[in-house]
Amino acid sequence: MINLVIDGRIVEAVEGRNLLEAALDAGIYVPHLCAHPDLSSRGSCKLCTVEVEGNAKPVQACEVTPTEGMVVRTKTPAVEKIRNVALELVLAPHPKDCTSCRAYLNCELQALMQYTGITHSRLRSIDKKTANIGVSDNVVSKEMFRCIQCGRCVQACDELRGVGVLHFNHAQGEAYVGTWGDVSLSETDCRFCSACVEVCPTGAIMDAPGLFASGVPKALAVVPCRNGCPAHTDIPLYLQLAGDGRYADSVSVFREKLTFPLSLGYVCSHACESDCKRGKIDFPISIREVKRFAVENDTEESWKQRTWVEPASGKRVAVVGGGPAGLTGAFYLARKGHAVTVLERMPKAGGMLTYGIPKYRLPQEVVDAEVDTLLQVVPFDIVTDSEIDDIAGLTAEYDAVLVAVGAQAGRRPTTFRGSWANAVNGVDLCRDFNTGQDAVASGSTVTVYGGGNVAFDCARGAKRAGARTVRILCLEPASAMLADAAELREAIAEGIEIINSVAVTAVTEVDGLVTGLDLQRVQSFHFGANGLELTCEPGSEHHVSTDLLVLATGQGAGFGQGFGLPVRPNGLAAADFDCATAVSGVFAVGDVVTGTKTVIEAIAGARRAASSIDRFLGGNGNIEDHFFDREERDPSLGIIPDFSSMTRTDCRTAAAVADETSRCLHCELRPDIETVKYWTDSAYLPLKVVSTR
Amino acid sequence: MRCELSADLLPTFDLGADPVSLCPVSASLELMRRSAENACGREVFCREGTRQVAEILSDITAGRGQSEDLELVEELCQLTADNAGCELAATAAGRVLRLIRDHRDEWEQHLRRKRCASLTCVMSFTVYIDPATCTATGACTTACPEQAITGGYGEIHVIDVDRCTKCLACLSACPTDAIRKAGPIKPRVPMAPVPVGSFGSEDAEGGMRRRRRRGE
Repeated sequence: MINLVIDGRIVEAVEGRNLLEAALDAGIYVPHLCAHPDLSSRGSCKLCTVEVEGNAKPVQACEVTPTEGMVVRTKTPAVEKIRNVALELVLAPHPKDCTSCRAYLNCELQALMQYTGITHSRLRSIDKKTANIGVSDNVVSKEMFRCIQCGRCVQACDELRGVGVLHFNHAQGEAYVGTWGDVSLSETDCRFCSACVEVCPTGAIMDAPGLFASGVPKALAVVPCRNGCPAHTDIPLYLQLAGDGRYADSVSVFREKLTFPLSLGYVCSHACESDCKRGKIDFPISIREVKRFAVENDTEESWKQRTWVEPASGKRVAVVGGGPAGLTGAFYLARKGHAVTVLERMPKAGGMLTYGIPKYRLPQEVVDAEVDTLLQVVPFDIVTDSEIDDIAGLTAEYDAVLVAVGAQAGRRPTTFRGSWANAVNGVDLCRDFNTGQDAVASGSTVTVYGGGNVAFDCARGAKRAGARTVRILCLEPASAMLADAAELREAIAEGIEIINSVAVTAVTEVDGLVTGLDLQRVQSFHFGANGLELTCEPGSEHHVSTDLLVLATGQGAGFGQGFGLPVRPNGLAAADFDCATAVSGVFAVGDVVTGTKTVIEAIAGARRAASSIDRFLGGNGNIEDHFFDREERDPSLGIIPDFSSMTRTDCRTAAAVADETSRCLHCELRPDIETVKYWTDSAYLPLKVVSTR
Repeated sequence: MRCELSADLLPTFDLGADPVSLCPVSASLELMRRSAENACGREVFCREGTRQVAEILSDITAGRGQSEDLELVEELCQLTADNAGCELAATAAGRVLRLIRDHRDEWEQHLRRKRCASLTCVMSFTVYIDPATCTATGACTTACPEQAITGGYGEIHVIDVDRCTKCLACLSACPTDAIRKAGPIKPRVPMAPVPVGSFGSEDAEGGMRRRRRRGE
């Protein structure tokens, strides 16, 4: 520690910190603009000018190394003169209207104007000829006429990231910040890490509008894959580890947040990829495929050595439903020391993984092996063929009950409430496919009503079962279908006909069998007070005949009032964020609460439920795993040739995985960059006098 | 110095010269412009200080100077000289300060009376064609980018003062050196082109008259 005096206050400076940092550390605010905690000092903005006793001239605090006994004054008229004129000069070419800037109220320059009381006034306004050079793209939005040439972006790109695509350029007798040749960033070696955005003190370099989720803390939002994943898996880290061939470490990272990783590697709805920032440039990273490759090539399973199982608590928990939600809840509750019994109505565990998702998308061996893995870590009872009609018996016998029965009951629109022998719910047909039933006659015509993933599972399953003609009728236009784009693409390739913007106005029947459907083209539709309200196109009526009608129009909880849980009007159970229901000791999670959602949402919810139940049972609720020790990250990215034009790979080989993961923009590095604190920050001592001018 | 930029990039002036042969304001403008144009762009005083001073000086040479500008130029130059990151900007600012110190009266003349002893600053002069010297070569009419000079074959050419931007292209174009600058004393010239030799030569010397500046 070095002792010095700043503005009459005795201050201790940490070895290695410069005078500006020492003052800021001590809570003494000294204005600064070009200085940034993560960048080296250059002393070019002159705002941190101070007087040091014994020096003839004022100096820049960011360039001074504190010495023992140093006496520093930060607010003398001489230094305030330099500081204020420097700020006036910076403002001379800067736009005067702050309110039209996206950085309004989030701008270091604006904060400094407030601190010093300096406005645009005394000096001539300067019109820079180079002010409008700079091309925006989908990731980085440039308004270089707001640039104050502090040079932070140039430094961040070069010394922090080792990329160096931003420079001080010269044209028309002016220096300005830009790329060589003023080309767009995608034509440079830019890695799109957005460090330049992060360090820009003004609104010159910003994130493209709408790039990140709103209403989320910035540190989370700027890593969109991790933020988009319902389980908030540390995606950037596991991608990198997989790319480096460290599959066991990669698996350890996602095992910290989820169960069933291989199943997810097959079927995850990958919200991460939808949100991936690389997708704004070309295509998102194949995160799901990388995860699958990592699991399939992990020969060590080192995470298993680091699992914990707490001693028996003496509490008993019943989990109703053995799908991804129920099994995940059971897994963590069992590890917390509770005796868990899973009650599954079907002959096998796995829920929708086993009885919903078609086998061509997710082989049964994968599901079985992943259930076994959970039981290897911590044994718990799975009782199959055990249908629960009423939880009253369970609440008497167990200390807590987790209801995770999924959404097993098909819900039909009113037009389809007839009891026809050849009309089947989508969810039931999927189950029939997976249990080997002959549900679809060879050579028949199958019509599926619905536009979600279940509809596609049914249609593609029917095609595989030998149906000659398979068509999907969907209310939504092609651009607004609920199913994944990949499903749509593959279904069309398999010869399935997709009819968009169409409504079924009547069902024609003969002897209790559906023979065909009257259709009409839909101009628009919405769900009003009386249910679905349609505006149809007059004269567009037509008829299709069918041998089998599949209704993939939504699913409900499938239990009645006798079950012992209140059912909402939409047929689903009610539970709060902590998965607690109106009945004490009874919790609910997964599709039974959310309606048909995704495997990853079920898993993320079940983790929350397990934590909540553990707390209910007197535990601490902590279910976090620590399977991989984070290594210190090198913030440097360096250059990858043709980075912007690297295309998505199939991730079938280690080399392809390495190539794919090298496309990552490393958004995760951004939160490591410190945010500059404004003078109003509570870290600084209150100012009695804002300015002596 | 943080930056290597050298003062060799600056134009060389005989700083000790009389204001009649070297306008201190125009020389200062040249120094500041050259410094601003060559600035590396990183340092605030080198980049913005020199450009700001150049902007003010440009206003002064065009007659748009304000009384407080001299004080502002001195303040900015002093801060630039003290805080610049390179020899280029510091030297340029130092030379401007010297030009102010040595020729303060001339600066005051520029600001208060819009006068420039050397007739360098555009505000201080008009361009005219001496009717006694003009031989009607037509070189000036071709050279003028503003088409401000009229007069056909055999006619004394006349400059339309309102259109003239004082670029001085005609001065170097005239083979007989008939085109000259006039300060506050304005010579008598024909209002429109007249045949060569027809304009009263008896007035050539005595005809110079002092014209009140417009708006003065």
